[in-house]
Amino acid sequence: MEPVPKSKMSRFLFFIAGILLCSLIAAGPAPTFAQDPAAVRGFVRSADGGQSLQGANVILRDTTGNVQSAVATNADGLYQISEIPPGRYRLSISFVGYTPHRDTLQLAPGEQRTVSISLSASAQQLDDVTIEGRRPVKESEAGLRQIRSADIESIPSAGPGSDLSTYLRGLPGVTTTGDRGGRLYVRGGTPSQNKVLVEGMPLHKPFHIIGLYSAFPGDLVSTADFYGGGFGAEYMGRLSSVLDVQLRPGNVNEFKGSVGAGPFLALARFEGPISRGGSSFLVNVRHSLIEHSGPTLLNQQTPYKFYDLTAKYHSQGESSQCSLVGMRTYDRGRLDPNRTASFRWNNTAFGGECLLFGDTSAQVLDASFGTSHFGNAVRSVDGTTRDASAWRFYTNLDLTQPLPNGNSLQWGFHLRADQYRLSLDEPFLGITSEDYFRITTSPYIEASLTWNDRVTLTPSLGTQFQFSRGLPMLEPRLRLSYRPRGSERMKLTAAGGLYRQLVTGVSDERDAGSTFQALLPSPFTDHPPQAAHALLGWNQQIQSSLRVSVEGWYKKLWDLAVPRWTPIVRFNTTLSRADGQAFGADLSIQYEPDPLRLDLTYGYGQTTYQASEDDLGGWTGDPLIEYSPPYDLRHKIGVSASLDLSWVTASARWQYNSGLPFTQVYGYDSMLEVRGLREHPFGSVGTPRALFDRPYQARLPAYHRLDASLKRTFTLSPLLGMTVEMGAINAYDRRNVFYVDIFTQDRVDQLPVIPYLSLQINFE
Amino acid sequence: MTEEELPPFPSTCSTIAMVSTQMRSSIRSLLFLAGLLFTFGCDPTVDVVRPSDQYQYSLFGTLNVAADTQVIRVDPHLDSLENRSPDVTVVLENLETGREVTLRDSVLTIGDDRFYNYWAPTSIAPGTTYRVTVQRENEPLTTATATTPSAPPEVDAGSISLPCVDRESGNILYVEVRGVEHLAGVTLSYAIQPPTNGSTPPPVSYTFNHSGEIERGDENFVIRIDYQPDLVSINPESSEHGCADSTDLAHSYAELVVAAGGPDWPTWLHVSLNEIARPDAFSNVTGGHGYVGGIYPDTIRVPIRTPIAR
Repeated sequence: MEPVPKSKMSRFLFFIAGILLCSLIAAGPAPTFAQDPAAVRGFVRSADGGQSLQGANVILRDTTGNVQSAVATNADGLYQISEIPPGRYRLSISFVGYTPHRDTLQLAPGEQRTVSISLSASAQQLDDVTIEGRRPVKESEAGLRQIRSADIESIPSAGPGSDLSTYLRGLPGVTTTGDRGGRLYVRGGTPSQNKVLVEGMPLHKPFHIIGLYSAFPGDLVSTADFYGGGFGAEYMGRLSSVLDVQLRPGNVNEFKGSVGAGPFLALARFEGPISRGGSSFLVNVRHSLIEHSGPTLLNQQTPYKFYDLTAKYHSQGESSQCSLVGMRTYDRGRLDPNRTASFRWNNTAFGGECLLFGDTSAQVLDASFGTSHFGNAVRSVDGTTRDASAWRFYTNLDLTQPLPNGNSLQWGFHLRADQYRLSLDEPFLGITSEDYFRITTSPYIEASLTWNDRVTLTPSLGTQFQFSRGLPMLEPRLRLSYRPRGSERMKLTAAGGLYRQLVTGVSDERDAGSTFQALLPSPFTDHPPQAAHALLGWNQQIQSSLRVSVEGWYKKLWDLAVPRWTPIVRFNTTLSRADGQAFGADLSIQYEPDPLRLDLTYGYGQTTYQASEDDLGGWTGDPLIEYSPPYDLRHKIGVSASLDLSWVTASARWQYNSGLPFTQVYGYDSMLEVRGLREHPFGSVGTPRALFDRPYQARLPAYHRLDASLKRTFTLSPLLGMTVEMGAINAYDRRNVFYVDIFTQDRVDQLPVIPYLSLQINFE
Repeated sequence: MTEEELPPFPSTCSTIAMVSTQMRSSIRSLLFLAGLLFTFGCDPTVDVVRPSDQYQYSLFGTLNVAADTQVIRVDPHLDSLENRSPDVTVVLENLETGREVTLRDSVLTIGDDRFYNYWAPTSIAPGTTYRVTVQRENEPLTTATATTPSAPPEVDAGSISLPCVDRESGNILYVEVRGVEHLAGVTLSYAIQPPTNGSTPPPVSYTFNHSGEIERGDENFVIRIDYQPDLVSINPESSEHGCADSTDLAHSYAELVVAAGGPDWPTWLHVSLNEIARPDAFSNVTGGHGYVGGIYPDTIRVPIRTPIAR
């Protein structure tokens, strides 16, 4: 272990001490004075099932009707109004489609009033509801796509039900190398640079082997915050993106369930109250059927098996909301149906999260803990196996302190222990095994400051300290939004900061068909991989039904651990250092004249890596090699439309991706090791080599595909409903290449046209 | 404004015509876009291999002064997957005398793979430069030029003692090599007597490569050979001392082969296999990849000392 420089250690200790001091000062009850401001906070939920209502308007008026304060609830349905002068107020809480709640409050000096309410659904549209509370600042932040269940439902997907994965894959800036394998590349980053959280639990690879599915069925997702970059210090440890998923709780009032099946999968879900109005459970399980239905439907082998199991316990009270979540995903299959090399991976995670506040303190505490395990393996044609796993235990404490004028201060302390294991068995080359254990802390502090209801500044600062590494480094970040007219109709957003990652994912980038990935601590102890992000966006509500947003992004990447090149046909864990840069722009136009919903997106991106020829082990003849990695997607166009008529919902999506880069070969040979006279022409096979041309100079053919579906729901009885969905994936049967094995020249295409009919029965 | 001054209300037909014109314009735009996409986006073919005019064959092998037959592996870059014959002529030329020998082709089949070795029963002179040329229709495509060492190595070796001792590094054969600039390789062979079943089968030779133990000194090379792993792997169950014993051996000596490398022999002994595999590294082949070197081996007998001589 390297000695920790004293100055760096001192800085780290000061930082920790500062955060602890903040906690001590702010956590204790303060003495009350006559003019001490009061505060009101609470949860806003649906009376139907107890679900949190995000974006509900909470308005506090004085007795003359003037607005004292207006806020909106966050993803947990939590609102908080602070710094209220003591006195009498009228509180109104409203949410579109629900009957508003109105109340009169008499607030005493220093009082911390809790008002948690459940809104009842209203049959009529509430035209008189004025949206005064600004939507949560996160709503249209730089780099952020806040995904709701309805967004996911609008995309055609081979049911039953929808899936978050289908939605994500259509976003500009998100690249996939194929519709199998479960890997997402976001704005120049690699899959191992993405952070995926489910209620605070990390999941390493929650995307299924068939890319249409993930561990997140659409109607289980309450919200999903997807950051393509520029995220704050609350999220530490990854360079590229963050997907923070909140699952909806089970119904706290009545028992419900559904079962369904389609050619790809079958599902069953059951939920209901444990203590009516107070706690609930939800269990959802999906299992693939495509392995059995595929040969009949497609007249070809479809050796893919996957399942996911999600269970959630949820309890809610006036001043607290807690959940326990367990998840298990499993995938197994052969990416090339004609070869016997098979992949499998699984995620197992269990964790709890509690959001609570007390009567004497203004702070809101978010505490979470749990464990998460990821394992993946590939069995090659020759019977050898590569195996890698990562196991994490974590605990997080996050505190939010309201400040005057609607501002807030948030800080937290995250602690995790990781174990990484790797075992590579290569034909002729033997077994390589590695085992690492790391403990990491990542404290952070973040402020949200608003001026004149027009400018919101969110500076944050965090650090990651790994005990075996001894390199505490500060990561400053800043997020900014500017509303020139004080409303959400026009908004300019910006974000930037420094990002570091202490773990690296090793995958065989020469082979796009490989989905195996080994997670290892970054080998560069002096300088771990890091990135600087800069984002600038513009959002404009042109008409009530037309919204346009444009965002430019730039990422500078340093000290990336990339596989050292070798012409030898083997998985290579020797890493070399590379720098890179990625930039691009995303355009999104949403046109939603009821009942039509039309989305047009275009994304441009360019990613390049640079490394010295010696470091990379290249043979181009140039001292500095600049190349585009295999996920350097330049152009991506997406058009999706959804028409919701009273009797049927029709939706379609067309996607176009320009071709991804790949490395051509100019030949193959079997190298005899003349060195040491180890191999002789008579009797030796040699080591197979692929003789690569200049790296990633060629491009695969462009990808395009049309998916379409029709969905109709039938009410069979007051307690029984049925949803029928029919459609087609790849409707015009485009021959999109998935990958070509450069060693065998076998070509594997992505999914052909797949018609489907799915049925789902819902009961109460 | 009077009613006459008002612009005429568009009739249904003119509205349709206007919409129709707009639609036609939109359709033309869409068709243009579709045309672009189909032009650039519809060809699904992938060319994995882009043949090189510069590199066509890989050559591997040694020109051995002490051998009466020379063998060179010729691996055509483009045909490897299909295992087709290289369909070439391979010529070995002594650049000092101009004498040429055409090598004969042979096929080595291992599993489903076929390899093409070109050989000739010809002797090689020490201290001489040779060129191997792969040619088709008398046009040279790939060549390798190598010079043989002018003298064999001077080898001084200790002895092997049995039984093996338990202590680590206690079973070391010390070898010192002088008089050469480069050392190409070191092997140690044991003749093992198979179990007899009435008749006495001929001894079987087990050869172990110890080139990884070569260390260069100021004026010599030193090789510290730990022979215990060799003898353990020969017959791990035959001995209570952890390695084969004298009853397994057909002779009371092992054969040590030490080969000198020519003046252009690479310094690659302690380089990783990945580095050696780089096509541009450690190659003396023009118009292709690989390595053909000149060697001059010497073979000596290393006594195997046992408590009870056979």
